[in-house]
Amino acid sequence: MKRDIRELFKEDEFEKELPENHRIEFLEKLKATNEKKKFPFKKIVGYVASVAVLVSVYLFLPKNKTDEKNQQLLLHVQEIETEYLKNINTEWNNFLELTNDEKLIERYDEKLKELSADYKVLSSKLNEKPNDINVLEALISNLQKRLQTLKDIQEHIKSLKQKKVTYETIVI
Amino acid sequence: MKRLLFSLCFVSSFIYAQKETVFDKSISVENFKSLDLHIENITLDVRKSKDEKVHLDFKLELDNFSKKEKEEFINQIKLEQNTFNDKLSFTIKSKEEIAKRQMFPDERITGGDLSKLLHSTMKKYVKFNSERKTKKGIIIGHNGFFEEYAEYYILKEKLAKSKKVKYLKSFFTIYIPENLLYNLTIKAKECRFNFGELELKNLNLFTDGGYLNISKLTKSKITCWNGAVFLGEVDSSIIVGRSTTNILIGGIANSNLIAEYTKVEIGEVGEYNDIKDFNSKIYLYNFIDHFKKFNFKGEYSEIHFYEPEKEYTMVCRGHDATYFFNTDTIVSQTSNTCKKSKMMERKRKNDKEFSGDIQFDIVHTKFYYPTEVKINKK
Repeated sequence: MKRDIRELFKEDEFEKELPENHRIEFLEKLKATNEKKKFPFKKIVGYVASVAVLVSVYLFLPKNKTDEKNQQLLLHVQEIETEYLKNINTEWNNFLELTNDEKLIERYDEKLKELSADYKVLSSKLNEKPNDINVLEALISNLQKRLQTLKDIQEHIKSLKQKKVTYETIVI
Repeated sequence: MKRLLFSLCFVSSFIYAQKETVFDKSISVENFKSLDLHIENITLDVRKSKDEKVHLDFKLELDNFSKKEKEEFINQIKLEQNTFNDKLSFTIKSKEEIAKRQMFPDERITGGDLSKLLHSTMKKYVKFNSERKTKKGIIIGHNGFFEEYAEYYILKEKLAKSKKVKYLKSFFTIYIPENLLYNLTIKAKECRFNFGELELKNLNLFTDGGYLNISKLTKSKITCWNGAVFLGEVDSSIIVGRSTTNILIGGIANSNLIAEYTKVEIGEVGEYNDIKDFNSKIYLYNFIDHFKKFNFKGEYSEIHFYEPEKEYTMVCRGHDATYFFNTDTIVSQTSNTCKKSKMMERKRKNDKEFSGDIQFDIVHTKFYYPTEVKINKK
């Protein structure tokens, strides 16, 4: 329903006078209100502290846990790496003792260097994505491959030195 | 009715995950005579185009990815198209390795149907890997593993959905017209190629890592480093494998195979083949009835030689080799001077049908001769 706003100002209410003790009553009420509303310092500190704790739990705790887990994983990988590299080095020395074929040594040196270069690429990938199981597997498999390659070639060389030897042509 | 349609749409959106288009491109290639592909980190099916166009149909299904993650994943796959005279080339690279099916984070499965399937497949695979094979056995066996893989993917997807983890399905196919299919050069890194039943000619392919599946190959050159290769039938081609896990060949004829630190299995050795090797394991399971000539030259090789059924002659020259006859007799042949000499010989024994001559030139080699044989010395 439409109503002219000017009608509202014509009403009597605006012409009514205030009661005499209005000012005193207002001041008393104001005083009473001020007494009730003291600055709640302790409460606010409490709230701030709780919020801070919650925020840190939300922001930092899960991240810390993941970081910690990743850190542990990387440390574990490092341990495995050290162990493997130690064994690879031992097998390399055994291999050098077993053969004097320089061509073979050179080719294996080249092969191991290539695998080592691949390992560096994989390591940087793992640092980027510590949770990637495929990278982790590829990393371990690279170390295994290096070790197994050296073991295989030694086994090959050893099996060429059998007790039963002939210098004649075998006829079948 | 509207409500029903709405509900159907709503439900179907959950049942059928939406495919995201990565590339959907068709290029008319009438003016081109050859095609170059440079590909990285992608699983790709190659098929023959039904028209005179190259079609790139690359789609992804990304379950439980947010909109932003989907966009990021799709945007990291880059496509470049170039032309040079009558040559068309595409460079398709993905920063992330894209498998056919993949869980994020990828998990190794323990327990359940998936584990059972994996266990039985592994058992079959180990058996398949360790036994003597025929050409037919290799082709059927290999395709059988593909079928089991399909079942494995279904179970893996089911598991991914039950766990509500991110799951990727890739559907990347390139359709190539016949004229370019027979003038194709591919350079790839960490890619998995499936050429289906295509008969490829004049293919020049180099791949580092990944997997290659070709049914038929003629007049081509394949070089593979660090990956795995399946070739059903090879004719008049050059195959190079370096540090390759496994080159599995059904049958090979009129070809050269160069291997280094690789396992090569050949179901059937056909006419006129040459192998050159350094430190590989070579399995020659069968020879065809008229293989005519077979040459092998190698150092530090491990040869598993199953003798031809028909009459044949064989000469082994070289020095420093050990022969494992009948699986238990071991004879070493060494030479103090490291000079090559005739180490082993097999002459024609009868007038039966003759199948061919075999020549081995071997140094520091292990030679397995599983057939029952009588040994004499000259």
